[in-house]
Amino acid sequence: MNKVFRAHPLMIFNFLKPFLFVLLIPLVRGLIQYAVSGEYDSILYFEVILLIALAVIGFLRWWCFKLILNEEKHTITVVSGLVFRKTAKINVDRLSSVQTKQNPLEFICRAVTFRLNTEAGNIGKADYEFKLSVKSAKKVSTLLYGKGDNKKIRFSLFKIAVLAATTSSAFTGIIVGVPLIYRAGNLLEIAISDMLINEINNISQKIETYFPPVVNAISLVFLASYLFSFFYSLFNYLNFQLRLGEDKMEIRSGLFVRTRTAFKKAAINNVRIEQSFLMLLLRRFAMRVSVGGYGESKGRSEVVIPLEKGQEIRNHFAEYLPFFKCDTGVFIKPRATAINRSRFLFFPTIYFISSIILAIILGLRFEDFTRFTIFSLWVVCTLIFIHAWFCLFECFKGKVDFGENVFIRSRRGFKTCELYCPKENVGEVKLVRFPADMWHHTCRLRITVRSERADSLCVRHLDYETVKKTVNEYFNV
Amino acid sequence: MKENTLPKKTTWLWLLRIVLVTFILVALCFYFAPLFAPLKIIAIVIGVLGLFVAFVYLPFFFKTYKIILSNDAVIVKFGILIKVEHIMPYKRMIYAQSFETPMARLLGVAAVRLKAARSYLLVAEVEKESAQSIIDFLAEGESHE
Repeated sequence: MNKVFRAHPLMIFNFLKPFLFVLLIPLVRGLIQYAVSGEYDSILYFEVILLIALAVIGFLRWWCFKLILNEEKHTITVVSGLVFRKTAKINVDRLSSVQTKQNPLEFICRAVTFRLNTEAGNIGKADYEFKLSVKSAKKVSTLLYGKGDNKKIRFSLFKIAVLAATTSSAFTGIIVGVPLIYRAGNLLEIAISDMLINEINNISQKIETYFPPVVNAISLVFLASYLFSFFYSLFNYLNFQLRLGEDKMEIRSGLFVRTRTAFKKAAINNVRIEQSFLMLLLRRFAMRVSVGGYGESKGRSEVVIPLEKGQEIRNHFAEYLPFFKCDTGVFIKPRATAINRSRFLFFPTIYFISSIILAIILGLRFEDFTRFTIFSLWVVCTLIFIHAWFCLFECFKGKVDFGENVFIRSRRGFKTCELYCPKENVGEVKLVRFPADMWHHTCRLRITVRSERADSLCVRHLDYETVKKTVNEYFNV
Repeated sequence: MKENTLPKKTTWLWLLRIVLVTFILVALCFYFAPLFAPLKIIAIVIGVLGLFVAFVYLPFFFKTYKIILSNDAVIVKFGILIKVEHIMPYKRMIYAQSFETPMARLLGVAAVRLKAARSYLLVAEVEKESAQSIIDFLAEGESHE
């Protein structure tokens, strides 16, 4: 039986959105002018007619939109378009995920933004995005994934805060914050950016340290950007909740903008258990899953468990996603020889020596900037030591297992990572040998998952013959 | 295995489209010709080319167009000078979408787009009922497996 759903009327504004600022602001200004002085421009007529025409087109486009669900045939049909009519029929099994998002305006209007994602979607864009009433959205979700008794799992604020802290960065803060400050300044006609720069200058000159004021200013900018990014992430992750069904997962989060993502466990491409440097200090891990075709951007995956101890997270993993477990117990590890182990520290040593030499040269060449050079060297050396620690992790803990699922543990930048992926999802296995690898009969093994995100992980300095033989046997090459 | 060819209406639709576009381009060229004299020659070239494509090339092109629904894949074959054979296995297909322009709606035809991860196969306009049956076959086929 077919069940037909219509879009929420708020969608009309979505269609009008690109023209609103161009038309509405001059129109409002003209109307205010008419109300105050009784005078109006001749262009006001044209603007009113254009806005009415656009509103009528928006209304008709909204009227033409239909979502049809067929429970028996297990299909979902989306009909859209006024002049160019589009009809898409999607088998429910082909859906990667369904996402609902609710901002404060939608909350007041009892509407949600509903996104249908499949593997065929463009990067950074859902296949279909429309507005539904909350009631309809609930019905559609139930029809798609069944009601079921979902197990609700909530996480403490501390765990959410750590997750937000680990996913935030000063650069994100700058990227998000700077345009926001600029726009706010333009809108309020106040030079907010100049005020901020002056304030930062004042504070950095007041702080008396060994380092020059410019170092304080840079540190302050980075700290403020990081804090901005942290609060931005925190508000996105607040109310984080995991709902577990028999064969589906649902993740809810957000305070002002509420997001809800549901997907079948079978649609998961790979599972990652990660530990960033901050998590390393707290001895905690996070679990993420990557779902095919999911997400607003290519690089996004879904956090399933924000923060948990090592053993606990493995227990949860075994409980929630038992079919991803890898238990052959036969691992390929980097060779445990002194020379091989020292090779893991080759690049950190090179970076360290180069930094020292560069700092000495800069110190001698620009004597007035010695304190700034020392500060920069201190920052770089800290990063090199963290990098060295992660290299040692790869050396002692890195391993690969080719069982029913593929398991690989290594480092990824400044993170440790365990990747679990079914055999059929392995997209590429790459064996790379540098001259030093040929000399030592070793190789680097990189496994890339066949998915939109194309997650990959690499373990270095593995025994070449063992890897080659295992890979050939595993993939029947 | 099911083999389909395109209906006559598709040829008419594309003929109309090409003639319309040619007419607009030629009209524009003549309109702006007083400003730039060579536009008259360009208009004649566009007109001749447009009419050649519409009345000579298109009918032959659409005669070569074949849509084959085999047991494992959708195969679309077309081309006169350059022969193209596009194969999309059912397993790789994610969903199907029909697309109608106002002119196509008047003639009762619709184009079909078969979407796979990172690629798609476009089937030129077929009868509305055929388009619907292709979409139904592809979308519902999976649940009957």
